[in-house]
Amino acid sequence: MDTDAIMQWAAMGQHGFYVWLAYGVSLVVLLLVIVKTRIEASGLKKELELDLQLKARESGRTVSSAREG
Amino acid sequence: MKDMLKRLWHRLGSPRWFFQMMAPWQWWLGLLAALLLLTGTFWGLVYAPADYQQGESFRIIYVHVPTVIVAQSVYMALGISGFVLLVWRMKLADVALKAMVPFGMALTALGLFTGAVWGRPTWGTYWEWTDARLISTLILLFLYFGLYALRESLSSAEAAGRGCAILAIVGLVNIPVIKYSVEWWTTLHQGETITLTRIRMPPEMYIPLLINLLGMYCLFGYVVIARMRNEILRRERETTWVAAWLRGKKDDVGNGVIDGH
Amino acid sequence: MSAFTGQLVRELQLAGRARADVLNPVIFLLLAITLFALALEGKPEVLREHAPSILWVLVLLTNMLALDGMFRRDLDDGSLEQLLLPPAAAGIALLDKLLVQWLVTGLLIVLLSPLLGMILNLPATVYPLLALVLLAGTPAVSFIGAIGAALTAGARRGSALLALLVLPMLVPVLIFGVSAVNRALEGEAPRAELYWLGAISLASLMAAPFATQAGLRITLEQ
Repeated sequence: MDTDAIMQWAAMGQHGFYVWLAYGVSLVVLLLVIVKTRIEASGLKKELELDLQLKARESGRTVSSAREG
Repeated sequence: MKDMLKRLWHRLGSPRWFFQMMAPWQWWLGLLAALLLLTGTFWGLVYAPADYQQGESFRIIYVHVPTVIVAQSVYMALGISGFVLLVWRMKLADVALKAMVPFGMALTALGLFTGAVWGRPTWGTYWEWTDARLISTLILLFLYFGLYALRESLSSAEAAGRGCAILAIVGLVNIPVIKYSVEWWTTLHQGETITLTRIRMPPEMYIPLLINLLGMYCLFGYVVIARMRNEILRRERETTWVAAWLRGKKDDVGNGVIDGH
Repeated sequence: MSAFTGQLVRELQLAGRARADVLNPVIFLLLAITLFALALEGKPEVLREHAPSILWVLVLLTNMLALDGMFRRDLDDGSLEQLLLPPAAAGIALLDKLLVQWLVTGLLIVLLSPLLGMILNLPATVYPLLALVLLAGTPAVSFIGAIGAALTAGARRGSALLALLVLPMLVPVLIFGVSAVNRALEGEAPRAELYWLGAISLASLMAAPFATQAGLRITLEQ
């Protein structure tokens, strides 16, 4: 591993700050978008499952025929 | 072919069909997006040659250009969804409209940011108020803000959807302005280096760009499908098919089902 | 045709009666321009240099005020449905309302422009071109603004929302308008800018009735 060459590459010829800023922020923003979507999805799933359980309990209590969902 | 399209059109009327059919698409697009973006980025950062005039800052192109191109495509998709919603009252169109706005907003903002960061070392300035493309992209960002705000402000969900549809369609005028402003006024942005017919960059430079562009489109697909499916769950929570799906999830005791879906 | 002019006259009469609604935006404009004159300490060269920009930004903001209540009054007193009733070609009925909106805002500004030019220390030779530029650009502001007004008539905090929706779409008008007045100050006739402003105004005149009608239907549904 030629650390010198890697350091030189990372420096991006004096523009290192800008290049890495651009790529870094892009990575963060895109990851945030993805993570937020997935959190929403799992949150929704939990919430709906809870709803389902509540309703199942309720319709279990009322002696009427079990209604789906 | 025509029958197939007709069937597809009918199926699109059913949020449930979309939810179930698009699940694998979501996963494959996500995977593809990750692969393409990693490849393109790595290639662009390491192997592509630096530009003769701009030096290493040129590499920002691999993240800036795909971002702004897709941001505009998202808006065009919004316009189309709005049109479909208004003309055919397709429920999925409203779902799509709602799902795409935050993503488009994030991409546009990111595009403006990466452009500014690219501009500083290359052309000496973060921003130029007289550059038509910068301004029209900023307008695009405000259009996204407006769509978001309108959605929140209209009290009935259906009114909100159709109001956003109108706004999206009216704002479409901005897209050709962004594209062609570089030809009408030249300030900072140079003339097009890439059109559909000619490419003025050597392949070692434009191939990673195309890879990242494709990757960004795949990401668009992944995020939008995921968000649409979330929204469908929200809207259809009372239905039996959702209940059945949820129960199906609980029965699958981690049996190779890729998590979450 | 007579129905068209009949409605036009009626709308103008209504506007005449709601004098406060018509005059308030204009008073705001005069007040705001005065504020700028004060804030810039009345320095003549500074005023003249920034006059085009100040004028156009304030014209836009004034229109935001004027457009805000455009449909809300009709919504509140129930006459909005009647606006949408006429079976005649979509939007013709609304054309009256749009024109009147411009007449009581944009045209008023055009007529006032010499006064505004005076306050901002513009040379009298520029007044005719200034009026022409405003004449070409203010219809666009009123018509595009009306679309926003229709969408936000029933919304919570509609006024702020109206500005957020409409101002980005008016940026080209702003840019061309300012450029036109600047060139007039330099002694040239701003032909290109006038063509652009006129084109945008005409295009919005054609599109606005349909978009406004669609927006109003949505507002009524709420």
